[in-house]
Amino acid sequence: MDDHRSADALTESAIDREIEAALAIDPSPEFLARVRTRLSSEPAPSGWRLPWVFAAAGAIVIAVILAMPGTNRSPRQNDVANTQNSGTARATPPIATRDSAQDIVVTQDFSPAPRKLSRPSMAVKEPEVLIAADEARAWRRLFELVGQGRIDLSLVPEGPSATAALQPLGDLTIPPIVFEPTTAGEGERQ
Amino acid sequence: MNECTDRLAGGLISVEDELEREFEARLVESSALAFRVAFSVLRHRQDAEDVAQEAFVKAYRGFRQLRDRDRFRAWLVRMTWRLAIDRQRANRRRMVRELGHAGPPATSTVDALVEQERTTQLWQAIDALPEKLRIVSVLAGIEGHDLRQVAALLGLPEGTVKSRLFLARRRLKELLQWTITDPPTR
Repeated sequence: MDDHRSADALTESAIDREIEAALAIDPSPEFLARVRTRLSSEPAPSGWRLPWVFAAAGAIVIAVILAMPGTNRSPRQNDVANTQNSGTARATPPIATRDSAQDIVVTQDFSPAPRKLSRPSMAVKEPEVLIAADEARAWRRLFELVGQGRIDLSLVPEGPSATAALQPLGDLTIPPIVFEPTTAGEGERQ
Repeated sequence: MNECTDRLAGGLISVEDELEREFEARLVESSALAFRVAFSVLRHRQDAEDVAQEAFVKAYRGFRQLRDRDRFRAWLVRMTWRLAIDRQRANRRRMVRELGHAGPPATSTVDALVEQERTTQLWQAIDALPEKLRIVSVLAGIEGHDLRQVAALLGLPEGTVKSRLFLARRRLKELLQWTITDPPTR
């Protein structure tokens, strides 16, 4: 019995050893280099880079928006936004105060958080011009020259007017309105 | 602003560098494992290296989910095994197999022949095992993995691995009875 058990154990351990010996084989020394070369030609793994790219792009966009001075809103826009964002401010009407630069609307804000008032200097900004700068310069120059009389506008050919193409109308004859009496008696129901 | 952007970009680059370094470490420590798993199926050095390389490329693509060392090795073993099985099926008609391996050097031609014959018999017996038993016995024979490690690599309970290993050994013992009980003298 004991001999049988020991023979079994020997056999199993022998099998294990055989398998271990059969698998005790290493890849060639060039294997790692080959894998590295193959990986270097692999495109950027989307699995780990894309989220970072998106996160970076989002962070940069937010940083740019926050840092841009042009994104500062006018006081009235700020006030509207503040009023929309604040429940307490929405309930109270705005109080208009006089400022040297322009009107500033200040809401009665009872919220505990301090609120930043918009600066008047930002409100003095000119409205955005939608005409190209060179075009605006050309118009200004034209007006100056016309004002100085250096351009004779009579030389400017007039375009065909809209009314020129119309045929002259003949005399309109409007017949007088004739009221004919009704046959039935006036005021009688029919 | 620029400083903030630079910091952000620097942080991203350092994260990517760290991931690259981690993957390089996994590659170095797991290359033999992947190769041996592939070799246990294919018994062809070049094919095994190709399959192991393919597994590493796949691991590289999904490394973000595989940063944990144990998870990486388990995933790598299973992926390599699957790829090797696929390759084996594709190469069914391949006749030339590398039967020899880097074992103890043979001292004579007779020893070499006997050794080759024993190895052939062993692999035939392993190939005759059902796949579930085969991978357990192969992993137990690689790098001295114990039950717990094999269970972790396969994502199985230790008890399951233990019973499969028992069944595999019993089947192998039956198949190899004549060679094991009558080992060649050297």
